Amino acid sequence: MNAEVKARAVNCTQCGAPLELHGGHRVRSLSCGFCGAVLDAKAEYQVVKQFKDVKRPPMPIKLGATGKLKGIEFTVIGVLQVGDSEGYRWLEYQIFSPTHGYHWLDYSQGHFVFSRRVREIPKIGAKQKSAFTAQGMTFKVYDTYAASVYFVEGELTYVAQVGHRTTVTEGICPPYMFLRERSDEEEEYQFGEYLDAADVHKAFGLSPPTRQPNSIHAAQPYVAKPWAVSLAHTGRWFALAATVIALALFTFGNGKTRVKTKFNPAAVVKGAYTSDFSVEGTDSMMKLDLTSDQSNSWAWYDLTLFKDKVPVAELGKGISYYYGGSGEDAWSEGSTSETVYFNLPDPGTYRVHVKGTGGAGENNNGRMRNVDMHLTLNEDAIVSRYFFVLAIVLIFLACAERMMRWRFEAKRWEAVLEDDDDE
Amino acid sequence: MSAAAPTQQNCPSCGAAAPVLLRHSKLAVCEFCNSTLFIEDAQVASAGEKSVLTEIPSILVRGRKFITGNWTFEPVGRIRYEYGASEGYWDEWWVQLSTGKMKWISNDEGEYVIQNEFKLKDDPPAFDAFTLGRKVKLFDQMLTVTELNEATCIGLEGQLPEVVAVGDQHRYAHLEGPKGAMFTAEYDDEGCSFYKGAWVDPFEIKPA
Repeated sequence: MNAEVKARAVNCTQCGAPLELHGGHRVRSLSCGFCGAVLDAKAEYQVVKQFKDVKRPPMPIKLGATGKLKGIEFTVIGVLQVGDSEGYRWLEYQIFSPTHGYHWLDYSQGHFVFSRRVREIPKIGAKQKSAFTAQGMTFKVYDTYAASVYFVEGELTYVAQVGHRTTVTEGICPPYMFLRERSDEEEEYQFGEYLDAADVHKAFGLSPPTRQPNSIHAAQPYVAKPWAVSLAHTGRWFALAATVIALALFTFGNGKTRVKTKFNPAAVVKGAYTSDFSVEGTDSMMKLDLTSDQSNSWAWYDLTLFKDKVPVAELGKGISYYYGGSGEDAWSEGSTSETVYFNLPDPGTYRVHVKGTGGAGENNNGRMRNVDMHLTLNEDAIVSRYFFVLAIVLIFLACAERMMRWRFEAKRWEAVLEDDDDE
Repeated sequence: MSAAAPTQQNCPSCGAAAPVLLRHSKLAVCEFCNSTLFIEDAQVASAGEKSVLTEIPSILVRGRKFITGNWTFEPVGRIRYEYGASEGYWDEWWVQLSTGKMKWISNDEGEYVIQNEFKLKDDPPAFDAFTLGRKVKLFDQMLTVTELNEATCIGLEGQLPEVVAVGDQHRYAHLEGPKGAMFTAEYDDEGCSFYKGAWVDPFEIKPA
């Protein structure tokens, strides 16, 4: 007995079309893609039934093609086109290996899943995202839908029927999926693994896919972009360093206090000087802090910097703070303090003149609130806010990979969650 | 079951060294002249028949060790059966576990099933009592008769625990039930044997 599996051929007993045979002895039916006849592989290819006017779908892989999947060489022996009630269609190729038997390669919108029948029967809940264990993994229920067969061609290990309906429940644990297929006659379980489309194309000698699939498959694993992974790994340390530096500068970068004065309302209205103070360095970074306890009021301060009694710089700065509402409607705007940085090129003896243009705090009714104004001027200050901005940018970059993963997962579930919303 | 105790003999037909016999072997095929050798009281005798198996692709290879799950095993012999009117064939591999225990593993085009003999408390049902596609209550569960057929031995190799000859025939019934339950009932002149099957994922059989 010659037990080797070789490609053979028969003529369709219905229409005479030549049909290649690639399967083994467990093939039960041969469907003619030309006339729709289903032939009994165990009874000299007698016609069992015929499905007329069935349109052959486009197929990326042809019957008879061979390719290695999971290290095993398979031959494509048959194909089903299956679809759901919403018009979504996909292909299920029956593939055969003399050593590993009959399995399936599913093709859907550019995605491939290799699946095989398993005898494990897990307890699968009805609720979406409910967990169940199978194959030593935890799957989440993804979707349940009714599927019907629309087209059959080639060899199958059972007698194919166009119109055959099953109820499919999919569980996912990317890149794996676990399916329960229920029909009137039986219940079967399939364990699938998502395969990279480029690998499948290469395995079956097809030209590489021209573009990535538009959709995200239920079992498609998230593949992180290398640059995003690098950013996440290195960015987090830079972000931490920038944050520490920013906090350190914020806490200890105020420099040396040269003058610290309180002006009472009368002095502010009339105009007053600080005491003389010395600036020792050249090109010193100065930090000027103004604080005024405004409350639903504002004040404007004109400041003039004198060096040796000669004005060298002028600055106007307003302080306003308003608030209102209560509870969730509470609001506020403005602040009771302002900070200004400026560079002072020459050392020397300085003083500051202050005059409140808006008095010492004017409210909406034009009344004066009459509050003190505090002025502090520090030399050799370091600006910390740029490091805070840098820290925020670095934190964002470090989290980019995580956000991309989150978006990917959201898109994975989008289609089926929308289905539920529609219901 | 006790561990195997190998003994060395010569083939009565060609004089070549017979395979190192396992304790439970009742039959061996000479590696050199393919003669079938009976084994009685640790002695080999020629059965006067030759058996040559056509090589077909298989994960299992005699003389090599494999792992599946917690098992490490080595195929030591096999019987090939043809079923129906040349409808197909399958191999029954006799394998030795690392514990010394012996098991049967059937392989039908990539479907691997470990066969464990199942002792019946009562008289076995008659073969004719089965109807293809019908359900039957056995072992407290409803089983569906998925295959009724006749098998003919078409070849042997290695060592086997029973005397089988090319051309020997038996009838069998496959019964499948819920949760992957699978039983095989074999009927020959000597009676009926039941086996409880355990499916093995071919992708989980790895070389040791």
